[in-house]
Amino acid sequence: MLPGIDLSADDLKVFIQEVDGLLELLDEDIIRLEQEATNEELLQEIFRAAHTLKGSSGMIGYQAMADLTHKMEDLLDRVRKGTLAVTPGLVDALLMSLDGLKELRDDLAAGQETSLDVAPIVAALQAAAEGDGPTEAASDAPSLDALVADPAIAARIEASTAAGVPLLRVHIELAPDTEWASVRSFQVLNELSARGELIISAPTMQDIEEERASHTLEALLATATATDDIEGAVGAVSDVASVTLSPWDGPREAAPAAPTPLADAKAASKPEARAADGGREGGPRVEALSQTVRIDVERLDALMNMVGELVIDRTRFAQVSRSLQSRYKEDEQVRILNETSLHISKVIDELQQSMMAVRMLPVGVLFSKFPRLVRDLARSMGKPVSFVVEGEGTEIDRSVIEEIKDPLVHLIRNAVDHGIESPEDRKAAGKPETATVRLAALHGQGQILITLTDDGQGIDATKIREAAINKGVVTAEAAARLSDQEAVELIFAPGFSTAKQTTEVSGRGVGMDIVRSKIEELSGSVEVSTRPGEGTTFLLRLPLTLATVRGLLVESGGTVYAIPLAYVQEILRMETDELHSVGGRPAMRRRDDAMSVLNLSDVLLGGERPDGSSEPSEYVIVVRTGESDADRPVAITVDALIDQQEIVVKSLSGYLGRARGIAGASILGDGQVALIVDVPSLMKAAQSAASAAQPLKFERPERMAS
Amino acid sequence: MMERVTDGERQLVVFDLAGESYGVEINAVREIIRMQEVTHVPDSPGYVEGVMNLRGSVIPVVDLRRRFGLAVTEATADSRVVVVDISGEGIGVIVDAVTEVLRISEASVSPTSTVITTEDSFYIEGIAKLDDRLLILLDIERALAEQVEELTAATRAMAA
Repeated sequence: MLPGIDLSADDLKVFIQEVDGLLELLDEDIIRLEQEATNEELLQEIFRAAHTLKGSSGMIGYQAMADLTHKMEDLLDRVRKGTLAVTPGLVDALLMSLDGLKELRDDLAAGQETSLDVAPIVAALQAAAEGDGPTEAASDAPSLDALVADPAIAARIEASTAAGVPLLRVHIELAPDTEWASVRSFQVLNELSARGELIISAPTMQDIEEERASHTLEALLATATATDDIEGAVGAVSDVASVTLSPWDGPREAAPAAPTPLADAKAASKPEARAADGGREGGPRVEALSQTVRIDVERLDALMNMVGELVIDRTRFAQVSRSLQSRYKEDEQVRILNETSLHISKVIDELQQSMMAVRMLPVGVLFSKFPRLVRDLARSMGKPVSFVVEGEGTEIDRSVIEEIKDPLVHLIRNAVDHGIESPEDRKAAGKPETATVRLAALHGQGQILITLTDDGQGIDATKIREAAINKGVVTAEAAARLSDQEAVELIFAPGFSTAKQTTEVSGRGVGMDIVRSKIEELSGSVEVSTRPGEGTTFLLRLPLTLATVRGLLVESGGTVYAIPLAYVQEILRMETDELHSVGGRPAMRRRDDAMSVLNLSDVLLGGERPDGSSEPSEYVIVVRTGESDADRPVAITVDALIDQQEIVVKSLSGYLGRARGIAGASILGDGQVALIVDVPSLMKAAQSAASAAQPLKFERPERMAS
Repeated sequence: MMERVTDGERQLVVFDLAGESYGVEINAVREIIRMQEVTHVPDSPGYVEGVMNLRGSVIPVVDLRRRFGLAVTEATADSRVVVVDISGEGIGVIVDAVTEVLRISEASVSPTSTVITTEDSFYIEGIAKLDDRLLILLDIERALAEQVEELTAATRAMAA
C-alpha cells in the first residue's frame, strides 16, 4: 500500500471503480464542452465530477489527486459562474489534467507511488484561469508520443527494432532565456541526424523550420552510437541546458496529444523519474483489479468453431435418439438417453448464445476514440467542428469492430479534411462556422448500420468526372454517360483520390477504394449520398458478426445454398405469367418496377445444371444490397425453400479457385455442406449483364473473401 | 506401437486408381475416410470435385481420376477419401480403394527419369519394384498443385 493511503484492498477496488466512472464521464464531457461552451448542465456535470473526485481522493489521503482536482474544481467553478470563458486553451488545460488524473489512477491501481508531478498541470490550470492559455502555434505541434502513432513512423520503428538498432528517446531542454529556440533545435536535430537515423522529433523539423519550436525538444533516434558521444555532441550546442537519453520504451500512455508549453514543462519535470522506471509501462496496472480477462480473438474463434461442431452433432444426436426411442419404446436406458440428449441440446443452445454474446461489444468502445481525433484534426486545420456520436450502445461482434476502425478513421479524416469547408467559405455560404460531423450506429435488418454525415460542401459530380478522366479511371465518353450518383461513386474506384493536394491529414496512401474493399471483405457495403453545398453521408452496412449469419436455405439445381437473410427483401411464389422478356433477358414486374431474373444455379454454374433438370423454378427471392437508387433489386429463382437458420460461416480454401458468387460454406444439421451465396457479386454480375445486354459475367476479378 | 522406419526405408499408403497401384508417403496422409457427400463449388477448377465436411471443417475434395485425366466412375463401397496435408491444409483425395500400408526399401525405387519421361510425369517420384508388381510413387503435393501452368514449367525444367 502507498504511504499515506489507508485503504483495504476491497475499498481500493471500490475507489478505483468510482474513479474510472468519473474519468470516463470527464473524457466525454470535456471534449463536448469545447463545442457546447454555454451548456450549463454539462458544466455542472464536469464540476460535480471534479468535486466528487476531490472529495473521495482527499478522504483516502491521495494528496496528488486531491490537489489536482481541487484546482480543476476552482477553475470550473469560475467558468460555471461566468467569470471565465471556455477557450480552447482552457479545454487543453482540462484535458491535460484529465491525462494526469488517469496516470494517478493507474499508479494507485498498480500500488506504486506516482512519479507524476502535478505542479506543472496545476500551473497550467492556473494559467488558464488567468486567461493566459497556451498559444495556438505551440499547441499545433503534437508530442513525440502522439507522432509515433503514425503508421509510417511506427513502421520505421519496427524496422529499426527488427534490424537490432537500439532506439533512444532524446529529451532536450533549452535554456529558458534563449531567443534562438528554432535555430538551436535545428542544430540539435542536425547533430542527432549525424549520429543515427532520426525517426521523428517533436516539434518536427517542419515545425522548427516554421519557427514553431519550444524550449523542449524530444526526438526518437535509431543509433548504435554510444550515448556518451551523443550527449557530448548535443550538449555542445549553445543554449542546450540538459540532455536526457533513455532507451525507447514505446509511447507514453498519458502523453497529451496536443502538448502546450505547459505540457512540455510537465514532461520536463519528470524525465529522470521516467528513465528510472522505464519498464513500468508494461507492468501490472489496471487489470490487476478488474474482473475481466483479455482474450485473443483467435481463441474465441477456435471456441466458436468447436461450438459450431457441437451444434451440428446435436442435431444428429437428437435424430438418432428419436429413432431409438421409437424402436425401443419401453427401454429404460433409451428413455434416459433421450432425456440426456434433450438436455445436451439445451446446454449447447445456451453455449452458442453465450459464445455469441461474449464476442459482442458496444460499438462505443471504438467510437469513444474519435472525439479526440476529430478535435485534434479540426484544431490543426483551423476548422471548428462539432462531433456528434449516436448509438454507442449498439452491439457488434468484436472482430467486426477491429476491422472497421481504419475505414472509419479514414472516412472521418476525409470528412474533416475535404468534406468541411474553411470557416470563411462556410460563412460566405451562409452556414454556421462550426461544422457538424455526426457518427451514428443502429441495428437494422440483422445488420449494423453506421452513418457518417457532415454538413460540408458535398461532392461535386462534375469535378469527380473531370478528376476521374484525368486520372484515367474512366474515359470521357463513359464519364458523360454516368448519372451524377454514379459519378460520385467513382470516388471508390481504385486509383482515385479527390484531394487536390495531399495534405498531411489524409495523404496517407489509403484511398476510398481501400475503405470499400475492406468493408466488402466483411460482407458489408458502403454507400455515399451527397448534396452539393449541404453535405455528404456515408452509410456502412455491416454484419452483426462474422462468425454466423442468418441464412435462407434454398435448393437450386439439386444443390443446397444459403442466402444471407440480410439481403433478402421478399420471397414470392413464381407465377409463370409474371415472367417477361426485356431486351431478350428474363425480367419480372414488381409493382412499378422491372427486375432482372436470375436462376441461382444457372448464374453460378454458367448454365449447366448438375441434375440435368429444366423444370421452371418454383420460388422467387427478391434480393437487394442497399437502399440507394443504384442498388436495384434482383429476382433470384430457386427450386425449393428449405429452412431459415443461423449458420456458422466457414471460409473456403484458396485451393478452390475464385469460386465467384460464393462467399463461404456452412455445415448443416445433417452434416452436409451448403454454400453461402455472395449476393453483392451476384448482383454485380446481373447488373453488368443488364446494362451491357451481354451474357452474364462477373465483373470482380477476385472472389470476395468470406 | 509404431515401428521405426529405418534409413533406406519408406512407409507408404497404397491405393488403387484405375487398375494401378499408387503409393504416398505416410507422413503426408492425415487420415483415410469413407466416401462422403461432396458439395460442388461453382467456378472451381475442373479436377476439384467440391467440398466436404470433415468433422466440422470444410475441406476441398479432388477426384484423382479426373486430375489424372482418367475415366471418371461412380463411387463404390471401396472408394475412399485420403485426406492429405498440403502446407498445413487438409485436402481430400478420392481414390478407388486403399489397400495397405507398406514398408519398402529405398533400393527398390527407380527414379522417374530413367523409367518414363512423359509431360505429366512431374508428379511421379519414382517406381517401386515389388515382388510381383510395380508401385507408382506419387509426390502428392505436386500432383495436387494448383497452377497447372506452373507445373508444366516445372516439367519442362525437369526435362531440360
